Amino acid sequence: MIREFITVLPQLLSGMKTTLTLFGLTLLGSIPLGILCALGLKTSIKPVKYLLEAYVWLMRGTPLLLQLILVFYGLPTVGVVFERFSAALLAFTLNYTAYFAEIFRGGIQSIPKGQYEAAAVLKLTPRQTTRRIVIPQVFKIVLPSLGNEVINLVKDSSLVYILGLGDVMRAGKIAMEREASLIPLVGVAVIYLLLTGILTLSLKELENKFNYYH
Amino acid sequence: MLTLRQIDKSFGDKQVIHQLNLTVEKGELLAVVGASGGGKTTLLRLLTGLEKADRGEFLMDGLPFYPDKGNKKNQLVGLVFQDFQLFPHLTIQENLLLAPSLVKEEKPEAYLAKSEKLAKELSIQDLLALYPYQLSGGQKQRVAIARAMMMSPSILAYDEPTSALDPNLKKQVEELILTLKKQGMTQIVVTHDWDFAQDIADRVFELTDLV
Repeated sequence: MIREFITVLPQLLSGMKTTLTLFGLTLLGSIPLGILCALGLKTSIKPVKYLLEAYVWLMRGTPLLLQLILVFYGLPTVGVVFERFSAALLAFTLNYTAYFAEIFRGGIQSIPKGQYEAAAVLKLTPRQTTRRIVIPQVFKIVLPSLGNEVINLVKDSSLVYILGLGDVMRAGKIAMEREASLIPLVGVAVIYLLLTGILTLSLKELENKFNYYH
Repeated sequence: MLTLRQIDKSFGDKQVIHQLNLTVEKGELLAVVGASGGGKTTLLRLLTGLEKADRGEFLMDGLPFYPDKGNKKNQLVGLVFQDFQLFPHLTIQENLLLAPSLVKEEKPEAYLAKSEKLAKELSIQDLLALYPYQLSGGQKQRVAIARAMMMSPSILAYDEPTSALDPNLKKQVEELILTLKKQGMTQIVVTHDWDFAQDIADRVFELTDLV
């Protein structure tokens, strides 16, 4: 069993490259976009607010798998063509931006009104208040929910098999069929557990870092 | 001298302030008293621009000013909130330096000397590296006063400064307000505590309950 596991390990690790790249780039795009959307959801400009609400509803109301298929197979019918990885990255970023936007919106809402008023009396502009008072406090508040989504993202990344991208899951599935054994899938589970384990510990560490104030 | 002329303020169909006329002389310590819901806090919110008056005029030394707009760089009325509203993620030093450096677009270091001088005057010089959650109610009060004074306001206003404090700390706040008065600071203290108002103020102004 161990020999079988060692045999498939290089293939699984090469699949991990796709998983990690997709994971990293999705986070890099969707966290800042999520913050911007959350601010947009709080705006008094009605058309912007409604548009963003519709976007969040659409992204959270349909399966990510369906969004992946639509971006890769659907968009070319209207002349927009993405190669596999870009299509996956676009679908993941759009989807996770919507979830992050809702998380950040909740965080922004939980900042006491008095903090905004104190900033206003001290003559800070709304932009300065957002950047220096609100966002730093929001990060601490949303970190646990954000962490949940980040761990979900690792697991969701396995959905890219539908586009034929060679991630950990696909590498494991191919090896399973070739070897006619479930051992490669055990290897896949170990890799996901390791990744989510490292993330859980890192997120805990980050939460401790933000605990410098109450 | 601050003058308020014929100020009206309603929330929906509830009139909170009606035809208010008020003058505060330079260096005066004015206490504003009145029943709960009588418009005391609203008066401070109007003066600091957190609410907009429906009608009326605000004058500073005879010149009109608009608290909700006004000159961003010259703060006329500073406010010490009832629950202090210090920024919890910033140290006391950062709480003091943030607003002047952002508003006046200068490096925080430019205000370091001022913050240290104020901290010394208010006996909070040993607290500068701490965070608000590490402070007692009385210490937070002093920091809130220092933070308001960092903006060099012409008038310093307090919303119920003794409501969160025990009798011992109440005495300390009283002394602090009187010390600032000696330094020539114009102050408006909103309170429901008649005894406290009469103890400290040059003049007690009663806002009549319109509800």
